[in-house]
Amino acid sequence: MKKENAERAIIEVVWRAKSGLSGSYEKDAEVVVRRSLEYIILTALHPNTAISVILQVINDDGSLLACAMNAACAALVDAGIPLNGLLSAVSCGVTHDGQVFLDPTKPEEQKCKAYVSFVFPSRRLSAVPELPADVDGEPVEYGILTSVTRGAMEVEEYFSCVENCRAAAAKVSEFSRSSIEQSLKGNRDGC
Amino acid sequence: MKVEGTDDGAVAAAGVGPTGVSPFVSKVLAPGDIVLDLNSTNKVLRVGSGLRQDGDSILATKAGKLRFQKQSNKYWVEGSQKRYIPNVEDTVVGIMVDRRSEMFILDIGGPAFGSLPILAFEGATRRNIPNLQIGAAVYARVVNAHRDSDPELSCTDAAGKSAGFGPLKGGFIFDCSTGLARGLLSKPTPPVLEVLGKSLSFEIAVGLNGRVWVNAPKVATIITVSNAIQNAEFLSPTQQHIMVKKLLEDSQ
Repeated sequence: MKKENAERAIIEVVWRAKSGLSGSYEKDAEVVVRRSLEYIILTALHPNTAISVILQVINDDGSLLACAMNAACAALVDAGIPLNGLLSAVSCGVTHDGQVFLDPTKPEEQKCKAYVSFVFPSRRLSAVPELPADVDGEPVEYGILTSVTRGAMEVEEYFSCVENCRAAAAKVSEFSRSSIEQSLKGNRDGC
Repeated sequence: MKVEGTDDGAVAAAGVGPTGVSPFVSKVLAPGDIVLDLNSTNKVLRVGSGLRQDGDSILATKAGKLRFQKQSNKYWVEGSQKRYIPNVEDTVVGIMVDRRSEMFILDIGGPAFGSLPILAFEGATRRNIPNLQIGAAVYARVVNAHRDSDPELSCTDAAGKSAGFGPLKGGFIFDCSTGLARGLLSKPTPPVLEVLGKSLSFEIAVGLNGRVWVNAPKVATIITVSNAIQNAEFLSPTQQHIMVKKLLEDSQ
């Protein structure tokens, strides 16, 4: 009965680590996830309720925050919570010699001088022509929702990460969309 | 101020132009997809569940297939969820949890309990109140389902007749997804029910809230029917035929 709001739903995120008690990393991750989800969930449609998103870490092989974000978004779609869009999250790391690479594993993350997770709003299908979301013919996402960095990197390296992750997030969006189509195929006309 | 919400039957004003049907009808949509630009149609539209109006465009808020009905010019998104959110004109199977002086309180599986006025039955008067006990199952229709209030139910149709609504005696209730419930109520009759109906005698009441009530003279029949329905969710018509035949053979 914490903070009921008579005008909108409250979003609550619980992050459970693979083992051990919740520490500051978990609390920090909860805030980041909650703030990102507050952007897409239409809370005004469910006043006086709480929407609880519980993330259980089963295995951590790097890019954990991005993975959790994609999972939370998929769970909300599956639950039928009204959303005004989908999220695509991607991680990338910067090595000591300035190389940027996507989706680092845990050992790679530890060797990097810095790594960053981005969350982009997914591109949508539209019956109306929208802003061109292509750069040189490659689809990219438009707008950054969340950016979490660990470690220090040059400004140019950061922007290079943004560009690479934008292109990668477009692939994640495509995959989310095809997953949704797959899961709905099961409920076809014959029942 | 932008109005959010997907009231069933909310009317969206349209601009001048040739009539345009959304290109996404019968396609699977993800939340955020823009279905229609209101400037491209000149008819009055009804925006159903799963959609909302944002300025000049209609957006999807749920994942599902976009449906369009020509007669009422209505669009809505059909998805399948485990959890039920009440919509007006849904028929639901509720379970009574409490009785107040003027109404029965039913659990319809949504975020809030529904209230069923004691006079909302065919031929009910103050002296002739239906005798429902706590735990009784009721087949009712949702009359009012606004986001700011608890849903209201009724056991009569719009004309005041009972039309199959009312208490459900005996039988067995199981939960299913909203997609399966909708599939069971669709026309033509799903193969699983047809094949079962040819060999067994039973009755069912399907609630769009993801609950199915089954009743039959023999308990074994009830179990067979319930299992067959639950297995049928992701099967094609042919697979459903095969599955039901096998279940019937095994139970003989």
